[in-house]
Amino acid sequence: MSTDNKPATSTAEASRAFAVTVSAAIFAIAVMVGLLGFVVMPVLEGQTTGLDSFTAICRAFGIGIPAEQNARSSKPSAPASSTAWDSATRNDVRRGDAAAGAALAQDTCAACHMPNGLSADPASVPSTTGLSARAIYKQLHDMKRGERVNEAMKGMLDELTDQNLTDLAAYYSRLPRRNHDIRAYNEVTPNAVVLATKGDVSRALPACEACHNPTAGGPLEVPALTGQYPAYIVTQLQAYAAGTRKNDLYGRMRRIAGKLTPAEIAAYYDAPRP
Amino acid sequence: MGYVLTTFFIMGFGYFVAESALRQPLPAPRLAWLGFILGIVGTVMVVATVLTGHASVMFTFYPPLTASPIFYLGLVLVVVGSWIWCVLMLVAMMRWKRANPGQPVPLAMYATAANAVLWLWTTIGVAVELLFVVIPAAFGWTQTVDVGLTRTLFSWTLHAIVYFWLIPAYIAFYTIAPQAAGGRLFSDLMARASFILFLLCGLPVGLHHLFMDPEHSTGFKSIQMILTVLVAVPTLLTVFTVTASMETAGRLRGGKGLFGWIGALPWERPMVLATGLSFFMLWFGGFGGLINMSYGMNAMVHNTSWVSAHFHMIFGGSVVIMYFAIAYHIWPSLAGRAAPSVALQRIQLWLWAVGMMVMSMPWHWLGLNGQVRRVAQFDYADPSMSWWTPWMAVSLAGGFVLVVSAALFIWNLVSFHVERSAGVYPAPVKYATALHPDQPVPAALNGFALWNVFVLILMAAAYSYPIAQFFILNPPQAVVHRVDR
Repeated sequence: MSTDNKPATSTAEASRAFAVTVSAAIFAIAVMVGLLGFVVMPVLEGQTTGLDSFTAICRAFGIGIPAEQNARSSKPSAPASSTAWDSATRNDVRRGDAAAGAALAQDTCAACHMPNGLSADPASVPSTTGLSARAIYKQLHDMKRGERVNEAMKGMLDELTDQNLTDLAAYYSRLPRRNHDIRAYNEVTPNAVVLATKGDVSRALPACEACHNPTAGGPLEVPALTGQYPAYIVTQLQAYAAGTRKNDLYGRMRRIAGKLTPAEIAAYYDAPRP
Repeated sequence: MGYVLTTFFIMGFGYFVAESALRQPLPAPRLAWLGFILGIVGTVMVVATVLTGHASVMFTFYPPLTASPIFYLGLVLVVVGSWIWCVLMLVAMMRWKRANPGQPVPLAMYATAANAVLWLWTTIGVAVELLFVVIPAAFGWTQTVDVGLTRTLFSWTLHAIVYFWLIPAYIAFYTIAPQAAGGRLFSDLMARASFILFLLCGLPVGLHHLFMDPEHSTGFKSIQMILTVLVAVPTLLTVFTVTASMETAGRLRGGKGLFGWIGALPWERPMVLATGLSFFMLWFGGFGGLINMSYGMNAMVHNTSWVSAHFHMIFGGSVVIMYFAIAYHIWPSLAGRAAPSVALQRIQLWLWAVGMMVMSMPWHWLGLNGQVRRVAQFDYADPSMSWWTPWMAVSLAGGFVLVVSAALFIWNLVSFHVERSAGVYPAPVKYATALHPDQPVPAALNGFALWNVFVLILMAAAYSYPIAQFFILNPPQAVVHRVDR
């Protein structure tokens, strides 16, 4: 193998020959790989499902995959909620004026929601503390649009503008949270704790905590439940189960509440009141 | 751990190789320090945001989850620091070639430069993802992310990065282990060819991480699967060449018969021991990898503990144990002192290999039985999972062994400097010479110009439409989901 006595040009020639041979080999391998992936395998696989060769090859490239549109329904669409979290809405909610919201809350909301955001009647009026501005805004917006039916609130909200709603959301989201973690109650049934923290695989029930987490978790507008009145949670779960409340996107809560037994929904009643 | 341990180790080892194999000073050592400082600052930013809960997005970021921008900027700094390393490695090699025209670049340096080229190609994907999609979202400048696009760009980086981690171990297999065993490298050309094959086959394969993703067509997944299979070629070349080199050493030491040379090897030397243990784990890890990269079989183990087990075995096991051995091998010449206790080094290597096997074997088994990965805890009271408990306990025990081994590793390095018994070590590190040192090296295997052209062509073929489709089809975007507040 020694090249000591050969002229330098022959080394250069050998190098060039090597480069050409290797390039040809790589090119050939690349072409074979391409043929295998884009022609041979799609055509053979396509035959088993009755696809002609041309269609099969096109699909292997990701072209012409039959994403057929569903037939359009003639019924007018009725979304569960028209609160869309596009950039404009998110920016509006972020820029809500808490001071203006405070003044408005004093005049309009304090009678039921009390000046500190707590409730005069926990079964029908929620605590409005410890909630994100988005959670508050969504419910106000839905009730104003009639997507969540609440006659008392609708009357109030008819008088308010969208700006008023973001101001109120800003004000209430800044109120100090009332903390009562459900796990602090010894008397809560173990089953309720399991449902809240683990869900029930056999009924395809996800853990409540999967979305209702104090920090990140589920969709953007999910309300925090720690701090909410048990009685209020019960009435809302019953409303979801009965289908009388339906402003949950994709019917998530209606489906979940519908799978809970009345005893499970009532589990909060067994807990001592705060 | 994946980004930090590897990047810093590879940079340090590369600088060492550039000085010791080329026998010339490093070009622009100040720039090298700048790269190191950028890496340190970046690491502090990443660790601080992770530990304070502002960056719970894990290794691959999972857009549209969005962490604190400081986390991503820290990663960018680490990568920029490593780019400085890449440039210095290539400059060092080119200077040497200019000073020694017609001579083949020493193998250790050629392989290190190949790794630098590989890393420059590799980081393009994640750099584009971070700079153009993820960081704007993290700062709140954009409200939506195309998840398919970000996953595709990350896949560009995601698999080649493991070859970036792997190559230093292979450098040790080829250039250090045969010398440590008292033999010679069986074939220098074979070694060069396998590093080049890693460069060519390591890059256009990332879609095999997205077999279960809907955004890519079967054709592109298939060709990237076939290219992944081709990685077996340099791997088997390495197994053959290194085994042949070791056999040479064993026979030179008087080993006879079909397998007698194995017993004749100097197993008491940490580098030889680590190579043996690394090869042992490479069989298991490689076998698991063949299943992961098969389009069909992957469906059985997708997102299960099997996958975690595979990369722990092959990276944490085969590769990291060679990092340890390299550290033991080069530390005497760095510190100018001999190791106070080689026995402790051997114990550390054994503990690491045993710990890694004990930890990851149960994961393989549980993964086959459906245990998903990326889950913090399981409900072991559930009857379908309760039988996992003893396996997990075994795995945990393996983890403890690894912790002990890692602590012992740190002690073994510290002891060079604090133990009085450490003697003076005068000899510089030597690299293995080839069995046929006069074999002419073709110009193509002494540079990277030709191979860069092929990488470009292969990457264009494998990734152009899979990326372009996101701009052609204009698919719906996902709303950014912040986890840092």
